[in-house]
Amino acid sequence: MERLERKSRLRVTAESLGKRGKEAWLIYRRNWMAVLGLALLLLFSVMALTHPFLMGRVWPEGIYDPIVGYDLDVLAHPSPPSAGHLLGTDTLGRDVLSILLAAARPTFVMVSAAALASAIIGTLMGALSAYFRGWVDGVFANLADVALLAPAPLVMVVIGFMLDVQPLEFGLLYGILAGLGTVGVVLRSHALSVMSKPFIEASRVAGGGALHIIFGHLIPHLLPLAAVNMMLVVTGAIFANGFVGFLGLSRAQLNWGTMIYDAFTYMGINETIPWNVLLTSASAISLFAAAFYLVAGGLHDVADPRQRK
Amino acid sequence: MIGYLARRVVSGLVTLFLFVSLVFFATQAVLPGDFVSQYAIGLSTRESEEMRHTLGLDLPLGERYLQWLGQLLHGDLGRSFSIEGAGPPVAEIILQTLPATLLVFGLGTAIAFLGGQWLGRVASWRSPKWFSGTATLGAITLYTSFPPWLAFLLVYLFVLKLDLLPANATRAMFRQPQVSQPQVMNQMLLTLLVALAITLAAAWGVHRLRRRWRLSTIVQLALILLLWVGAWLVYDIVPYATETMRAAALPILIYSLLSFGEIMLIVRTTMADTVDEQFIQTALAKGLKSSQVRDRHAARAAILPVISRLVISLPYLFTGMVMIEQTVGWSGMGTTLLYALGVQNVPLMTGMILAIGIFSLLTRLGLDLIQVSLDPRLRVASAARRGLL
Repeated sequence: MERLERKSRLRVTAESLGKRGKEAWLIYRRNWMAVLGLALLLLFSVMALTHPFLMGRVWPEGIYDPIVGYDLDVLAHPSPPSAGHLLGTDTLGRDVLSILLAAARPTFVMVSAAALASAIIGTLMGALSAYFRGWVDGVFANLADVALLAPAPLVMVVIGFMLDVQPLEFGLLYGILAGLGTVGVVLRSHALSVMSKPFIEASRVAGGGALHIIFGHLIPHLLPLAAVNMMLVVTGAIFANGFVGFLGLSRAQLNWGTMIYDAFTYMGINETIPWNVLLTSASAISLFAAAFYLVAGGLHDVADPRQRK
Repeated sequence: MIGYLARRVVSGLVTLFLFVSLVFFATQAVLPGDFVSQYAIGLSTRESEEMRHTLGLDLPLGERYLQWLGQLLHGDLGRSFSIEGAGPPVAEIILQTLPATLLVFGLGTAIAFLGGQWLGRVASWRSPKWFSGTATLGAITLYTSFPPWLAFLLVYLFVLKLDLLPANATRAMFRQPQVSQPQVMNQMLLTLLVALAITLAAAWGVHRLRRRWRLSTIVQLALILLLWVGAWLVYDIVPYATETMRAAALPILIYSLLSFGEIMLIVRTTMADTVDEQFIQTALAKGLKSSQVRDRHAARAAILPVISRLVISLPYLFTGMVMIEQTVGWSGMGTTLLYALGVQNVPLMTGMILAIGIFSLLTRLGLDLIQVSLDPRLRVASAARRGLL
């Protein structure tokens, strides 16, 4: 009997979760820009996934390798788009499409690390300082001050000068800095307003402890806003990563910013402006950042109680 | 309020000091090589040892730190490294590059704020769907465009194709050496501030005189511009000032385009939240004109989140500024910082980071003050803390 009850309760939760998901999707779908963002993200995932396949099966490695490839049959690099090279080649004779696709995967890794780290740290910081106030709040406020005085993108440039940072480390560092700074500050002020709501008081009267209130009531109310801010962090991370690449500090790594840097650098050797390299890499950075921004807009709508019927 | 500000300044300075110390150690302990090894190719071992000795780089790191600390406590930022030994004092370099950055940052932020605020207001307020959609997409495009790329595009368009603006004007600008560029920029900044103050005072006075009279934003802007250019005439710096403005036009344009998108998006989102508020319905119901409700009621309520969001975005805007300076070759603080990092010019680097930190600290305090003066709730809260209520 008890088992049956638990089973049905499980089914009810699953059903209500499904229902809530469906409702959320209905709200999300109303925002056509958010849907566009999702489609863009999908496109970039496809790009990241096809590169290893194309390299293994379709493209001969000597010609299409994103770092050392060179096509002897094409004269005068950079060459405009052709049948063999859909986006043309850059000044060093490498296939632009191949570099573009190959750079998608490390960027995804970097971005996911940054997004998750900033969301987790920002949420915890906001919740803890709003719940405990006092010295906990003081410590976090000082940390936030440091993180805001030393803007994350600038710190990443400084670090880029010092170390050869891998995408994952870059994302984690950026996420921690942004989580302590921007995201934490935003979530803290939201958490303060949640703490003054009557249901927190009610939970306290009912005997709920600190852990219960923080994880059962406070954090669920912070998560939607955390998701929105997480997406906004991504834009900054992409720019910072691109800029470090643009300064020529991540030479060995595949990066859309490095593509722009290379294009500018080689213009000193060969004066033709490689529009095929510049346009594609710049729009890759912008569209990737925009995708996250648009998705954030959709999530904002989902989190907004006024959007529900 | 003053106690609160003092606390903020002190804690900000302490955190800034800790951060700079960290940078001091990290750059020298982690980075391979030092300033001398950047030029070591042309130097014999003995020569580079001598150079290290004159620069004080042969001392242990801890001792160097104590030395730097001692200088800092006397208000001395040290001397920049150069190949001939100690170069010009860092404070002097900061004072020379600060006006260039302030000019672009201040004017660019002002333009971006005015434009973004206006467009965000209009786009979120009962405008046709195609208009708000286009405006939003345009703002997102600007917001997500990679700064060096946007800078390159505009340089290509205005300098190479249309030939409207000088390419790298900061260098070949002043032929007469008796007038230095930072001096002119300082005078320009000063006169701009005075013009701004006079205009604000005039607007306030007019409003005081007759409750119903207001100077519209356009009139105020025209007044500021008129006073500013008039002041150039008084100081007799017109040719230099126009040259400077021609050179600064490109970085200002790029910077304001980049920040404009972000500000417009913030305003639009916060405005869209206020449209459904009850006080808006009340204002409409009592028969006010739609534009009046938008500008006097909705926009006023939406300005607070915009400013608190601006406090947070400020470092990011500033970083964008660094990227732009680097790409256009505008010799401001950002370019100098990146140069100092590149050649491991430690005194210049720490000095620049300190200056940038103090600058952003001051700007944040300023925005805090604006926020408190705009939000009655914060005023009440601070009064209650002091036991006045």
